[in-house]
Amino acid sequence: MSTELGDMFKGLGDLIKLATDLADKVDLSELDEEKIAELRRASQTRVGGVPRGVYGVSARRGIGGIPRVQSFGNIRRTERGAVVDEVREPLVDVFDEDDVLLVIAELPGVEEKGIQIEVRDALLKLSTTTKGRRYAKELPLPCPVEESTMESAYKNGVLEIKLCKTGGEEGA
Amino acid sequence: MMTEKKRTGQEEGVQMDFGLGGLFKGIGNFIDLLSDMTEKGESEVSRTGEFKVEGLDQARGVYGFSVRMGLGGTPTVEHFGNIRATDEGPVVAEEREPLVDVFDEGELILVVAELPGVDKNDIQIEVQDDILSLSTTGERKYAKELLLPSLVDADTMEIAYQNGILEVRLRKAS
Repeated sequence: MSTELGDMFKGLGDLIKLATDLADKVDLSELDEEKIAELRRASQTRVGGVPRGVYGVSARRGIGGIPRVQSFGNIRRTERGAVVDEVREPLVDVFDEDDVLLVIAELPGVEEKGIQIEVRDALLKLSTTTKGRRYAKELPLPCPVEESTMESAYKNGVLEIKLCKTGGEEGA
Repeated sequence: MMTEKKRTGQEEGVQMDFGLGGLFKGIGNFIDLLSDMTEKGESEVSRTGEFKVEGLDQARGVYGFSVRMGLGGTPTVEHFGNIRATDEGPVVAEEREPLVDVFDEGELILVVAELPGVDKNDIQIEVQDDILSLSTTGERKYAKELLLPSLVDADTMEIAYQNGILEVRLRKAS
């Protein structure tokens, strides 16, 4: 097989190297008081008593080998720089299974009854209200779905949602 | 809302500001680039039409990092996921490094790991001196070796797993 990489993943490789460098090389003794104060402000939002920022990307092979890349986490861009938000965007996968769409979200650390799912046409809104960890995500679906057909299950920190596509039965 | 569309530095390698610009500025740039990739990557890849990352056929690739203020205002950056940089380019591994936090709580060390999608019985934890090795079997595989901030007494280990979160408590060695 060819080892030729698409532009994006070549870029991703570079970025991973940079992030690793970032983890290895940051020398705090070089930062002055003001800078440390800035860092404190940037991560002042506490999750479960501890300020923690998370940022990540996931890549999955899509139709025709085209990868789909999605970001997740709670670090947001603002005009003042990166800010750590209390609410985290979860890692979500959407699978197209003929008549059914399967949505899988990683929501570690919440209670099942604290999960709210709202679906309208081709938009799924997911949020959690459990104390401690909070997640929220608005997810455009690849096609419209019937909200009344929704089935969901939460186990070991993973939420699975099944939805029938709109017009799936008539069209079959 | 202001959106900056400048893409400086991407062509000739990414520029990061480690010095006086500070850690978070660097992370901000990093996120800018990742976001750009997320938004624009698909069309670019469609255009090139050819794409191969070893392992991506079988698995989903995840890469991320976490930033946390530690003791004395020292931020720690940890990475997680299953995309590894190799000389031949990025490779998607079957095992994912989980997101892990370590807390020093006086006489105890508390390790909190996010392991969504595994069963409690599939989790293996080994502790020797100040190294904790964590791995899971089953459908989702996680693995991580962790250096603890102090020596611990492995016999005192207490484990709890609920809703995808593993908590390990260890008493420091006296």
